[in-house]
Amino acid sequence: MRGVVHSMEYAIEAIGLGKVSAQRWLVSDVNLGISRSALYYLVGQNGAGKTTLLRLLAGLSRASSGTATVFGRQVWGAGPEVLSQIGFAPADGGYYPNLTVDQNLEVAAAVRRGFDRQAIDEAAAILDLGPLRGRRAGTLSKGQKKRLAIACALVGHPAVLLLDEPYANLDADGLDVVQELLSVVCARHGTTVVIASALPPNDLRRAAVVGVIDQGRFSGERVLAEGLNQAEVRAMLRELTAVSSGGSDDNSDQG
Amino acid sequence: MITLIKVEWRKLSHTSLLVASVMAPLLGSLAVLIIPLRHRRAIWFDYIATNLWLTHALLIPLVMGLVTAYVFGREYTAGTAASLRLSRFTVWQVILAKCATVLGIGVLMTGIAVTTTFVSAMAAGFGGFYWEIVLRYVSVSLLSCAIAVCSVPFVAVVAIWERGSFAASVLAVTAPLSGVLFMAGFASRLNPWGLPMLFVSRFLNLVSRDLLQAMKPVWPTAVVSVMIGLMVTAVMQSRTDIQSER
Repeated sequence: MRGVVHSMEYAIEAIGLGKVSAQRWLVSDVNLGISRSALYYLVGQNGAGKTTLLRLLAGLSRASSGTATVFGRQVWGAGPEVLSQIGFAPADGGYYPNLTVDQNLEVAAAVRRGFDRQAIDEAAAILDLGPLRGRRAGTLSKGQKKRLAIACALVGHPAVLLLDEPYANLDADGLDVVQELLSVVCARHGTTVVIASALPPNDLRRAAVVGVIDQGRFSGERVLAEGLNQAEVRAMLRELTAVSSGGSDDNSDQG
Repeated sequence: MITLIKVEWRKLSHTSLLVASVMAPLLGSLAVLIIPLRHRRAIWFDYIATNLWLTHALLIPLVMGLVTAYVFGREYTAGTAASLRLSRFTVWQVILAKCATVLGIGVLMTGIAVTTTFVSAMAAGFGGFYWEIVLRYVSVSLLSCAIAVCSVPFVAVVAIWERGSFAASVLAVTAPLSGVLFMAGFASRLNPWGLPMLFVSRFLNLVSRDLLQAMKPVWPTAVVSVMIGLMVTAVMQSRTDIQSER
């Protein structure tokens, strides 16, 4: 969209972003700015439009209205110099089932930043995939597959990491691994991480911003301090949803 | 670009389709050995004509189509299309690398078919060698390869449009067969209109006559070979799917 001014202070910015499909607005009029090295949770119920918004922010889907930028550059129609800075782990899949874990990471590294053994080893180590590296991806459990998909998105050291439902199918250890990963990539590499999820995890190890999306509309956002427990997070989200919908749609805790 | 092609080959390396690509031309070459002796006249022409019908006109376009459907459709079914889009390569580079891989499969299959044809013809002791026959062999091969190559973009577009490989696979199976039949039928009805058309019609008549003549004594073998090939591919693919589900 011409005439829209995006700020360079944000890693990701959306102005009036919307997507219509089959004459229905899946996401409409979203305005948000995500700072560099921030951890951002995009929460909402099933069908709220989280995945659609994530795909719009990644430049994988064309916006019907508004614009999305990464580091001040519009993502839709952008070249590899912009898009290769984004790592994306979809809710389903994101790996080749016929290849081994190691081969999947090698393929991901080759197409993203060029083959880099050190980056592959690091991604495998962070996501605790070491013992599984020789196994075919198709034979892994769902939680292990999820970790592999995240590792594939992470392997090229992207400046922006978008994760769609990364906590699905993860056991306690898996959750711990992903939480550790987020701390490492945000703090050490300065990566901006956006997570679409029904709710943030139980223990926040790092201060984060939570944006609530409800029926395709962006309800608002709050800063979550480090160490908040699940009950406090839920209460805050409930309050946020109630405020945005005038108190009539208090159902944010169903996710 | 070379990196992308290497990556595509690597992705194909553990699939039953690559096995089928190698096995299909071998199947065509070996199938001639089970043709009843009374049909196997002791000249090289019959051997070659039989082999090229099985491998070039049917199996190579078929397998190339299936590989096209797989390499394009798989990115959507595996959820890896996003990672390719967010790579250091442009969309066109990715598409060209995939097409180059499919053409590479075609070259591999043709190479195996030609080599095994010559080797097994010599080993089986077929006699007779005529340049005219070799030229026909080459012309039919080129025609079949052209049909296969022409079907690649259509199959690729269907796979991308459908975001999967099922409909594209169906097209991949039907398009080469329809193409061969259409060309054969077209050639038999074509009249020589002027000199350029005369060349074309002579060429097509030559090709179609060879194909139909070759088909005549070997159709049961051809059908059985194709059925076996498809069954082997289906069984291996289902095993891969089961492993993936686990």
